[in-house]
Amino acid sequence: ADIATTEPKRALQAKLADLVTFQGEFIQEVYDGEDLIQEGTGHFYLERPAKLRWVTDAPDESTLVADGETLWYHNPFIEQVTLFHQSEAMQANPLLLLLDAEQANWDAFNVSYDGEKLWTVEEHPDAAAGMGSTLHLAFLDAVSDRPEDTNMLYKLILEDGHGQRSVFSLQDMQKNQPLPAQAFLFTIPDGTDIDDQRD
Amino acid sequence: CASTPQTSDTVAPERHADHQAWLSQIVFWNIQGNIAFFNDADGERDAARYTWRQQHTPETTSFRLYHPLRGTLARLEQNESGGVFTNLQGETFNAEHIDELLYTHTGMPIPFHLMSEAIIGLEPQVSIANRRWFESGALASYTADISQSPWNQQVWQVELSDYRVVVHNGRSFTMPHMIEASQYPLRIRFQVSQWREVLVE
Repeated sequence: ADIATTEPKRALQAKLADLVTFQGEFIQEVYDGEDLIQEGTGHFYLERPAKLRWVTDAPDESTLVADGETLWYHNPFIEQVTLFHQSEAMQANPLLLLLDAEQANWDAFNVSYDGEKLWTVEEHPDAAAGMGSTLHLAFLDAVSDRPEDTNMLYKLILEDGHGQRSVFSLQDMQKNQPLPAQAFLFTIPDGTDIDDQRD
Repeated sequence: CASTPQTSDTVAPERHADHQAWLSQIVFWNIQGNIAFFNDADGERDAARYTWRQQHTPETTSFRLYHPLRGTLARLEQNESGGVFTNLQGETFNAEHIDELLYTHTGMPIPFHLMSEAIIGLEPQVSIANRRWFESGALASYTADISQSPWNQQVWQVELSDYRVVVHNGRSFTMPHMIEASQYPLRIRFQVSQWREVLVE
């Protein structure tokens, strides 16, 4: 039997390890059950093991930057930036698991593969800091033979455990290409309220 | 930059009346957007995204508050028989009004009935004063007294802005996309990102 089904966690970590840097655009659709309740677009930069920039465009503008230590979440509507310890945020949010190669955080999650194209990362039922959320990932190599599509992530589905599902369809993805120098630097705009949640 | 449209406390009565009459045809709407809560005494602020489905007669409200990082914060359902609040853990609580439920369980004060009319630019059916309008006849601001009792004093200053045309099923409505209600030290700011549905009589 193939490692993806016998040891799905190790197999998924190997696929993600291939994404040293990753960038592209996304279309986001948020569902409440079957009802589409929000649509949005944006772009992202990712550099493993620990850096991410996730920018959602207007009208629901927000910027999420993980710089390796601190998670910055900026919401211009309220002119506020919230700071979290990245390690704490990572336990509660499987989206950030994309970054993390360290085993520690992965221990709080179960991984499975449906044998066709969908990988599922869900929290252990007794995970302490968890939000009861589940992340599904799909890679192009399940639907394409082209060498450049190997380990190329193209879809993320985040379920929040309360019937809300965010579907991120990725576009114009680039794997292991240079990233802008300031990609993971967050500069606080003037007049922005700082909500420091790091204890 | 876009100049802020002028408001006045006098406008051609028929212009204002026509706009109000046109809006009063709306019987159901479904919107999504951003909501922010400010406490101007201590500078505290918080924001979330919301989806809101509102029917006017009989009055039914379905409101969901969620945060991109923290997931669903609250779900509220109101109909003639009462209000139901569901929290982050999925527990449900009942009371007569969802205003009271949301405030009790989250500390967030939303005067839903008042806001349900402000969202579409309608003058509320309560005692209001200090009305101001835009030249077009659209409502710009007012003070509304929705006090239910001597110990539940609620006098809200409401500002409506960013009016834009919303077209549904061939009908167009000029409606505000930014609504701010304040009662010092509290300030609630509603931004409407998208009108998903508008139904008329």
